[in-house]
Amino acid sequence: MSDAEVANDRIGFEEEALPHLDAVYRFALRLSGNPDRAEDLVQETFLRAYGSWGQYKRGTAAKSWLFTICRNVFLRRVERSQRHDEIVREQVDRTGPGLDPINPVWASVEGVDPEGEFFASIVDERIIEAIDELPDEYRTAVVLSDVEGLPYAEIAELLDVPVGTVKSRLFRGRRQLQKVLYDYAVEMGYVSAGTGEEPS
Amino acid sequence: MYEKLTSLGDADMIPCEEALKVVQEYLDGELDEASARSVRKHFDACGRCYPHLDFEKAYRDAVCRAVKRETVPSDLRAKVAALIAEADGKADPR
Repeated sequence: MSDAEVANDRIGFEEEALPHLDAVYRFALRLSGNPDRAEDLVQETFLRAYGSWGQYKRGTAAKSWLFTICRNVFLRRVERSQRHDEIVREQVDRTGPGLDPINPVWASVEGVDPEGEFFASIVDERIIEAIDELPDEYRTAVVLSDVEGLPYAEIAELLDVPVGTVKSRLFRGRRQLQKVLYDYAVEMGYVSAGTGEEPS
Repeated sequence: MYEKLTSLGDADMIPCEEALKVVQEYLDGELDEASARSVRKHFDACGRCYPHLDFEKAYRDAVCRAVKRETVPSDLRAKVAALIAEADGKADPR
């Protein structure tokens, strides 16, 4: 590769990939749950991304592409560690909030805080803790959709699962997270325990 | 309490349960135009369901705010830039 081509590649990478560094770091942090590991993940992600920059189609979903690399790097590391069994167990665990169309947390607060204002009172640290407590498969889907705003089709491609699976993980993950945040809000007195049906 | 949720009686109006079932897809922008219109119409007209949209939005705002406020290490960008420069410096990094 000539010097001019290398320079061109570098400029393209700096323009399209590097602006997503903060988002990739946030994603890595939620995957690994640890700032040092997240930093390592980000460095390896960008190094690998730069190495395969030639295969990336310019102007397409750079953020999703970087998230995919980041997740692959993470999973490869996990496979080498003890957490692998734990993650596999989480992936086959289909228990969790049911598919009732009525959100049970909303039903609980309907009489006292139907617009969910209590969510705004919860401190960032508690929310992060609750996200990190979600099973891996729910947490990833929730972060990619609620925080990064990726469409279902991109999340499906990134996680290599059907769109229906993404929908179901989001549905269950959000309900589970809302339930944890609701319980905390009740405990802190941000909202009184509803008179509606108790969330299950 | 769920038994009380029924259609509002308008032939063109989808029932509460149907609207609530797809509220997440609606907010995620994943519904086709016609379905999104039906859902919007329901939430605009149904006094009971309307706050549910704000509830889901309040949840998303809180999650988004918390995650995005996390600090990215100030030297991370420089470290990544250095790695890339180093990769360029190797004989054939690709």
